[in-house]
Amino acid sequence: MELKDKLEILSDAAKYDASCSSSGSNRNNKQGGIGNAHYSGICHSFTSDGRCVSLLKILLTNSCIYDCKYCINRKSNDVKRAMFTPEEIANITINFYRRNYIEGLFLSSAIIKSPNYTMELLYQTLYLLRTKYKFNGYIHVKAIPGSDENLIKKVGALADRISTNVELPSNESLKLLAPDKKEDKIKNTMSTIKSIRSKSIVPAGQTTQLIIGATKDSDYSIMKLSENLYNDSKLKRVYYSAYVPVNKDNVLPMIKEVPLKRENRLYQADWLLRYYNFKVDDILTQESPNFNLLLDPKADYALKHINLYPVEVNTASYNTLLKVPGIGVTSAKRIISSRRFTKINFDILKKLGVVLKRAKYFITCDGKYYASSSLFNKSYIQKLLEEPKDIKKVSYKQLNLFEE
Amino acid sequence: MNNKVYIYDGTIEGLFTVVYKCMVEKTIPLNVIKDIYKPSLFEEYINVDTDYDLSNKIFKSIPKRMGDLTLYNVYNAFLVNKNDKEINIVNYLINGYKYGKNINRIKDIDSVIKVQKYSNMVRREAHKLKGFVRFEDFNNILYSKLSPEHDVLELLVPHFKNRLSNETWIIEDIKRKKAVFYKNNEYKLISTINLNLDRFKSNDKEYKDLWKSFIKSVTINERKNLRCQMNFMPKKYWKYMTEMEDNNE
Ligand code: SF4
Repeated sequence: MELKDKLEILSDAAKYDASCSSSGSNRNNKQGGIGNAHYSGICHSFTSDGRCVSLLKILLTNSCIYDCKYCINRKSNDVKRAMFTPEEIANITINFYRRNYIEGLFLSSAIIKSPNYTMELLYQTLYLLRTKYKFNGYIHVKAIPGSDENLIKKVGALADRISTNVELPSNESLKLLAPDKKEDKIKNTMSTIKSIRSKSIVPAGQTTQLIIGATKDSDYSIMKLSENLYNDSKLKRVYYSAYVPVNKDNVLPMIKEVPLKRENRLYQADWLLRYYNFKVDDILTQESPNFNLLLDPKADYALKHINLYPVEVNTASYNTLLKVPGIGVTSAKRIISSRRFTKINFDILKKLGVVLKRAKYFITCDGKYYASSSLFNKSYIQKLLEEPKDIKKVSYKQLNLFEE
Repeated sequence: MNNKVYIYDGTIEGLFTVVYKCMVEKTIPLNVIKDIYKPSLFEEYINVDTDYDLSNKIFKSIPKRMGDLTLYNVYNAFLVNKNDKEINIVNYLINGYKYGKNINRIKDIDSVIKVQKYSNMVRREAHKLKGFVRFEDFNNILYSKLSPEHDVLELLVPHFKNRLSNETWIIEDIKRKKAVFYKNNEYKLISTINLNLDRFKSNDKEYKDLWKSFIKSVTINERKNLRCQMNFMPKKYWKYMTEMEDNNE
C-alpha cells in the first residue's frame, strides 16, 4: 500500500477527535535538533469546516480487536484497514515539520493484537523521533487503556502530552456502547498518567475527550464529570466532540443533525468553569439539566439571576464583572486597572474591549443605565440576546480556544 | 497644535530623531511623513536629518521612562501598513514622557489607543504567519514566499531560527521585495529587486501531495463552514499556502 493511501485512511480515522490544542508546553530546541514547542500554540491551517490544524493527527493503525459501537474502526465494520511503521510516521512528521505544515504529532491508535503490543509500537515511534531524528517539536500521545504502567511511563517520558479518553460520560453508557472497555481500566491509565505528571515528564499535562450526543447523558452530568476531572484528576483540558454518526446500530441514537450547537454550549460552559470562577451548579441544575440552545450559558445565568443586575462598573468587584455578559477576563482586568485613573463611561468601556451590545443590559456607568431603565426587564432582554436557531448564522468564533 | 510637518527618512532612527526635536522644541507636529505628496501653503515643512546619537538617546530612555511594553508597542506599530503611523507614534511618545509608565493605561488619548491597536495588528499577523509560512524543499534549501499586509518579515526570524536552526532557509516578502537568508545560525536581510528567487521553487511534489491529502481527509464535510475558515485564515494568505493552491483562481 502506498504511503499516501495509508495517510488518507489513518488521518481520516483520527479526525473525529476534537483536540487540536498544542499549547501549554514550552520547550526549546536543543543543539543540532529540529523543532521546539511554542508556548501559545500555532495554527498552521484551517480546514473548510473551520477547525485549526496544528498537528499531524493520525492513528498508527485502524485495525482493532474491540468493537465499540460508535467507532468507525470497530472490528465488525467493513472498512479499509492500514498500518504505519514507526519509521514511516517519523519520516512524515519530520518532513511536514520542516516545511512548516505542522506544529507536531498527535498520535493515537486502535488496538492491534493487544494493548501492550500497540503501546510498544507507539513507544518505538516516539523513540525514533526523539533520538534518531532529534525532533524537539510537540508530541501528544493517546495512551492505550489497559497497557502496562511501565510502558505508559516510558511513553510519557518522551511525549509533551499524554492522554486517555473517557469518551463516554458515564459507566452505563460505556457498558452499552463500548462493552470491551472498562471504566476502571481507563481510570487506572489516568491515574498512572497523573502520577508521572511533573515538569519534566509530560510537560503539557493530560487532556481527555467526551463524545456528546451518542448517549442520553445530560449536559449537567457531563459538566459535573468535567468539573471532577479538572478538580480531582487535575486534567488540563476536556474536549467535547459532537457525535457524528458513522455506524448504524440499534443502540445508537438516530440523529439528523450533528449536535454542534450543544458542543458549542459545552465549550462555553467549560470556559466559564476554568476562567470565570463559575461552578456547574451556577449554570445547570438537576431540574433543568440541559443548556438553553438559544442563549449562551453566561447570558442564561444572568437572566436567571436578573435580581443581581444591573451592576455598577465603577465599583463592582472583579468576580462580579466576570459574570456580566459581554465582559471577558481581559476586559474585566482592564476595567479594574483603568478605573483607578478615570470614571468609566460607556465610551471608555467600548475602548476597553467590552461588548456593549450585550453588556449594556446588565450594567450601569456612574449610575446611568444605557437604555431607559423602563427597559430593564427580563423577557425583553432575553428576546434581544437570543441567537438565531441555525448555527451557521451565528459567527461563533471557534470557542475562543486560541485567545488566552 | 501648529502647522509643522516633519519629513524623515523612513527609518525608526529617523523617527526617533523627530521625537527628540519635538521634545526639545516643545512642539507637537501637525504631521510626520516620509515624502511630500501634495505640498500646501498652510503647512511648514521641515526636513529632519537622522541623527544616530539623538535617536539612541530616545531609544534608551523609552524603556526606562515608560516601560518595556512601550518600546515593544513602538517597534511593532512602526511596521504597520498605515500612513498615519508616524504621527501617532510621535504623539504616543510625547505623551509617554509626560505620563511615564502609566501611558499604556490611558484610554482617552487617541494616539495611545492607535499605537496599541497597530502594535496588536502587527503582532497578530506575525503570529498567524508563523503558522501559514510554507517552505518548499529545493535540494535541502527551504524556500518560502509571503505577501504580508504589514512589514513582519523580521519578526518571523527568531521563531524560525530557533525551530529550524540546522536548516538553510529563505523567506521572501514579495510585496516589499526583500528576503531573509538563514544558514548556520546567521541570517541576512537582502533586497530582492534584482534577484530572481524563483529558481528555488521546486515542485517538491511528494510531500506537497501528502499534505494536501492529509488536509482533505481531516475535513469533516458534515461540518463545513467556509466563513469560519476564512475568519481564521483570511483569503489573502492562501496564495502561497500549499494546501490552498488549488483553491486560488
Ligand atoms: S478501542 Fe478505540 S479504536 Fe477500537 S473500537 Fe473502541 S474506540 Fe474504536
